[in-house]
Amino acid sequence: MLRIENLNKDFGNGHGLKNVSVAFPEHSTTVIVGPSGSGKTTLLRHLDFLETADSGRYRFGDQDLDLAKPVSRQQVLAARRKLGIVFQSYNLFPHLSVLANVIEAPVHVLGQDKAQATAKASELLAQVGLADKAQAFPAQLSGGQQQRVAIARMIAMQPQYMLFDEPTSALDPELEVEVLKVIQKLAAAKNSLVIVTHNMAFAQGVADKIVFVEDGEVAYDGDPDQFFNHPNDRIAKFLAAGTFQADK
Amino acid sequence: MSAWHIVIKSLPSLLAAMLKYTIPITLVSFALGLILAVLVALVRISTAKNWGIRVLKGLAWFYVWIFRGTPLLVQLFIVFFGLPYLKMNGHPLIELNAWTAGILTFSLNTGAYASETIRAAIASIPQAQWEAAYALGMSKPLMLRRIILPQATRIALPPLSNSFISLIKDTSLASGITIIEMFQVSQQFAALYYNPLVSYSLVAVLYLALTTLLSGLQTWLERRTSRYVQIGQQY
Repeated sequence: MLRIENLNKDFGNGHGLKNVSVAFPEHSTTVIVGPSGSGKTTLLRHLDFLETADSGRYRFGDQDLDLAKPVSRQQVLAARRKLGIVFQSYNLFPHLSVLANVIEAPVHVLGQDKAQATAKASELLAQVGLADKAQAFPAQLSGGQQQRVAIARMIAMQPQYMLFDEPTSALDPELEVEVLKVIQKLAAAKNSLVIVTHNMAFAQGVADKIVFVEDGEVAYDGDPDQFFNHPNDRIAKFLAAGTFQADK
Repeated sequence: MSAWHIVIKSLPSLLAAMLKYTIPITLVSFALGLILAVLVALVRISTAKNWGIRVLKGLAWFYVWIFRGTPLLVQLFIVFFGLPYLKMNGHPLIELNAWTAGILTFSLNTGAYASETIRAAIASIPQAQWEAAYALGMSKPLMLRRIILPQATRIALPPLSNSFISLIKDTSLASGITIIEMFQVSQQFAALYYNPLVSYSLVAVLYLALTTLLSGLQTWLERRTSRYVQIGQQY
């Protein structure tokens, strides 16, 4: 199980995280929601050591790290190799073809045989509906297609946990659906997922657990049913904003 | 003697000097300068805080400061004529022949400029690319080799081509340290035929031919390294 305890991070600008403790259960989907600037993404990025915490404890399998002390490069690499992340802006490698993007890390980080990695990558690209785009460059793809390549690239590393940082925030509704379907399949297959999203309908459909972050603090951590169907006043106000409809 | 006659008479020697000195000095110095430039650029972008890196950063800064801040001809004179006067117990510590002094100075000079080009090109690669590579578990050397430098190459290519073209022309300064390169040969013909206009114009045309060839090469290389961008634009 992946968990962080009493995590603190001060960016010095009012944003950051205050004494955050969250557990991310295996083979289930944890969805992190909250207002913009609340610290959702910061929380997710700490899991992958893309941010450096001021203090706290990081526990993941046999790793138990005190974040107040400098974490060694080996420990960071060890954690990262158990995690995969999909970014809001896809972050594909533009100079590599779609196929090369997917096999890059399996071949050069894990030392897999290239032919074997290519076969696996073709399979993954087929799974995300992009078998015919293997030789294309990222710049030739739509945002939704790029994001699906990014997901295939992550899965190719066979991570224990799959992290998604607002994976569809840059996409229009049709392209968003393409990507959400892929993520939904991963959740249905009982992978360990952590998703940051603003899409409440998707969160409700896919979450086994909801973490609501506000002002750098965890304001709710638990059952999705309770969160969506019996919210307290603050959460109710947050959810209501998502159903806003303009009056004529 | 007609201008045409001078051209016919002097062309073989000029071409020989070009093949024997101008081109080899340029190629060797640029290759060495480029290696040096990448190393210096990596030192200067390093975020490590240990003392070794700090000292290296200081040295890198000092090196670029000196070699960008002084004229190339002065650098050549110091290395070739000056260094032998650095003596210990009456014996010169360093004595370089003209060829070595030339290559050394041209490499160091090119390296200083190119290191800034490469540093800026690396810095222009978005942070998101580093993060994507980190998140895939890549070590820093692997990431630089596979992700960052290939993208930085495309960006650095036009300014590096400028440096390369400058270097070809700057090899004419090697005449100042006794190397009989192409420009030195043209000076000899100017004196021999009493026609500086024809002799120097001829050597100018030869430099122009070389740099034009290189501009063509640059265009071809830019197209090749930018394929992945241009495809996107057509699309």
